Amino acid sequence: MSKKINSGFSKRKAKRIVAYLLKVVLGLAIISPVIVCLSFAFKPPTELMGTGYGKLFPDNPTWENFKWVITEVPVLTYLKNTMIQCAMVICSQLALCSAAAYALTFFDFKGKNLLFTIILTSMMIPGDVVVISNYIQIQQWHLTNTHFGMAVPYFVGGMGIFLMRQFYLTLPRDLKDAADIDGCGDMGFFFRIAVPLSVPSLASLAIYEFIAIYNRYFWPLLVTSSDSMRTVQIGMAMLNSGESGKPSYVLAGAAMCIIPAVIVFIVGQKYLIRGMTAGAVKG
Amino acid sequence: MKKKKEAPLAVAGRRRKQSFAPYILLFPSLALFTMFTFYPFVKTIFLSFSLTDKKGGFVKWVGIDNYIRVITGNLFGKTMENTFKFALMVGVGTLLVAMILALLSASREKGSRLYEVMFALPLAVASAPASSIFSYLLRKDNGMVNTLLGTDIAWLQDPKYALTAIAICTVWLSIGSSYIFLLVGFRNVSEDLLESAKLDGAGPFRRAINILIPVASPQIFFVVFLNINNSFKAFAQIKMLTNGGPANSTTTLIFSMYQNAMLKSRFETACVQAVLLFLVIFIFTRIQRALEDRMVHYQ
Repeated sequence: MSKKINSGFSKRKAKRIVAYLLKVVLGLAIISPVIVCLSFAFKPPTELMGTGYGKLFPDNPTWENFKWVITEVPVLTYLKNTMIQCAMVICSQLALCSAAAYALTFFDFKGKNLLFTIILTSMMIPGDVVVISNYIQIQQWHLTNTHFGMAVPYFVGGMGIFLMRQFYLTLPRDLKDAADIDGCGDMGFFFRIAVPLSVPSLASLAIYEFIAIYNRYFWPLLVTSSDSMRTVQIGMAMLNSGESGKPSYVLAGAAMCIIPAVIVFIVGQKYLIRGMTAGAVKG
Repeated sequence: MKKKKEAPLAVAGRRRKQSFAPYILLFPSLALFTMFTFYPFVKTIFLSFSLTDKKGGFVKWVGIDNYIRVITGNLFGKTMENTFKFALMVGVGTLLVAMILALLSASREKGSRLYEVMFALPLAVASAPASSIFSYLLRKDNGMVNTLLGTDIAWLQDPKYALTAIAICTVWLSIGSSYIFLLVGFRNVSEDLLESAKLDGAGPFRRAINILIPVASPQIFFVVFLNINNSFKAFAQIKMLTNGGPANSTTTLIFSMYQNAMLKSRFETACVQAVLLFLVIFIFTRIQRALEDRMVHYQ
């Protein structure tokens, strides 16, 4: 009897392990385009073109492709430009979204509902609908090919305000009352209590924005025309269409483009998911 | 002691909230929304009824002429057909794949984070490098997709397959975020409910159909419309994989808008298409709301 139970248990365990392994294999299949990209970027160009294309791992791994990309294309400039974008937009979003959300949560003032409705309405207008019009505007202000012109339309976002507001709503109103009693002013409460407590939400917003800005393509393509202003995405995409577009070089470029975002994703996954799901689904 | 004395003051302090502080805090955000969302939106509508110069400046008012020209243009039908076909392929394809992945990982187990990270990873990959990779994978000669399927298709050069090829790339890009939303939905299902179903003899398949999917219906619904709406905005993969071709078989509304504005300097045409893009997204959002109220099961 006990033997039967025992074998039943180990059978179940074996089943579970097989299921687990199958899921891991499926996971590898899902990320196979990334694996192919990273692995093939190390193949010498000849290996890619000939019969060796089918092998997953390079016979003679080489840095040659990466070296070619770094010497032929100003990758570091592209990366620097992208990082400047990230810094500008993230700083601005953290400050402005926190401030707006704070005002909407802890104050009662005339027109509060109207202003909140306006912010919600702005979320109904997709950025891609106004992208042409914004381009015309930025061009008229002679802000194309500038860091500021590229960043300014993204300085604030309805999603960020929403995310911060959701966090502030969880803070008890008593906390604010107690702070008032202790003579801590509105701004004192904001800087000394609300902001420090909201660090996890700020992290969610920052990581969400990092991935969004790092991966943005359409807008930077419109407003940059000089090589010295291009972002990583635009610069690396040009490898694909360039006359020098050897697959091994293109894949090396794509690999360099993917790695930073993937690292941020793996490290900040928890925060990113919180940012993504906050307020996205009701219920 | 001192604090207690100040207590009545705090009540007065609460009334003091009728200050300028909230307006000052909200001002920068509202100014930016006005400048970069509302004003350009109104301007887009305005320019769609105007004649514009090469830099997008207003020349003169032409009424609905632009709309008539766009809608009766010989590519309009094809463009809209591509846009909706693409939305359908991306919506259905992403839901199917992400649903299978999320159902497989619905219950937590030791080490489940390993495959969870892999299932979600595509969301960190941008459309531009993904396009580079897929243009390599989808090559006709020695392309990995052809090798795996045993086919000999010129995915990106054949008008019959080009849109499907871009949809494959887009589905892959969208799997990660859809998976996360669905996983959140499935993990909200109470363990007790699943446990009691298990005791009643419901197998994994029955549990998925009868419990997980109905309870997570808000998230499933959200994911379907998220992907449809994102498909209307897909741009980098079209530009990089096929550039709208071959024979306009992959020209969607947003891509045509880009072509008109940036390559032909026809800003008024681009603005008409931007307005149409807005209407398409707006109508789908309305449909989503209406269906949601009727069909979705909230716990």
